[in-house]
Amino acid sequence: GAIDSLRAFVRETQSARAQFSQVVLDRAGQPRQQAAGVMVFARPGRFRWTYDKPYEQVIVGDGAKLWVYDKDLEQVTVKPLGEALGSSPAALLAGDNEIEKFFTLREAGSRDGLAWLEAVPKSRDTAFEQIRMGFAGNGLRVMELKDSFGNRTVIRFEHLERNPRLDPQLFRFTPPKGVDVIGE
Amino acid sequence: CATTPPPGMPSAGLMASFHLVGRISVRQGEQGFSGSLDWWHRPAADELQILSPLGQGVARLVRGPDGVSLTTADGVVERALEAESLTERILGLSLPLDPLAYWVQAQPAPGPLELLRRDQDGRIAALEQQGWRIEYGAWRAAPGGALPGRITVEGHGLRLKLVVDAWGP
Repeated sequence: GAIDSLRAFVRETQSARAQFSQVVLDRAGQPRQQAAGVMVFARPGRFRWTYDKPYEQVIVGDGAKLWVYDKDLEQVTVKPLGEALGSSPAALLAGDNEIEKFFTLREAGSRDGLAWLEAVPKSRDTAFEQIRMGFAGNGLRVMELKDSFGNRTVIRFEHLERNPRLDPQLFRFTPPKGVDVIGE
Repeated sequence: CATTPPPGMPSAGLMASFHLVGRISVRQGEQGFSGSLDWWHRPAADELQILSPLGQGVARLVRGPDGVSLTTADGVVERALEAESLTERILGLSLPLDPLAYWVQAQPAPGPLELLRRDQDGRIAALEQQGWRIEYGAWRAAPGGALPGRITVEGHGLRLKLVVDAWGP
């Protein structure tokens, strides 16, 4: 089932690169926000999500901190990675098996040719009410996140490369000059 | 996608209703938040939703005839008569929602105007009102005339930056 696929995915995929597309649907299922880009991760806790459409934004986990840089806003927000795990799918995906530490897993059958699992947070302070993950074999294809406002974020991964060689520089982030830095 | 307005295109007239999609960052002293903004503005009602970069809700502010409510991610709902005191109490920064609905459209809010500067196309480049300074940039062509793509609002120790990705009715 999907839970076995998740565990195999975490075990077999020490690092990965994939293209992703992301859409946020509101309560009425209307798309509110669409974005796309490339993500890489290396367990534990290092990742870089680069959004190139429709605007330039980068989310980096350097193993200790989560950095979010918005180019147009000329702003970087930073917070300890530990705090971000419950609220950042990027951090969850790159964890050792944080998903099982923070969420209770349940099989959710198959749909659209994928095997699905549902993850419900064990504690209240996560930003998501529910996460669903869809697998084809041991490959993660889709992550759906529902928040307390009824928004649903659907992230689709394509061309997932397992265990590519990744430049460690990808997982370091230094705020560009002249940018607002908010947070610790 | 957003196209730069031809030289001399006047800015759009005041819209009684708009739907603004963009990204916002607000800071006041140590408090602050940022994320994407979805703002439905109607004459007697507003709904603003702030999402974090990965799409999960951070806060929703709803203004109606009987006051304003603010719902945060942990589901707590707080109410007040107007946005300034409510956002001050909950988010630690006072958001001037009523004048903001004018300022984001590069229009002065009702009331005295301390400064108004126009750019060479006759559009408002900066204005000062009620102790706030608002500056505009990244203008884009829109059906009713040019609209700003970047708005900064500074005053009373608060700094707000707004990048507009889309204007709609």
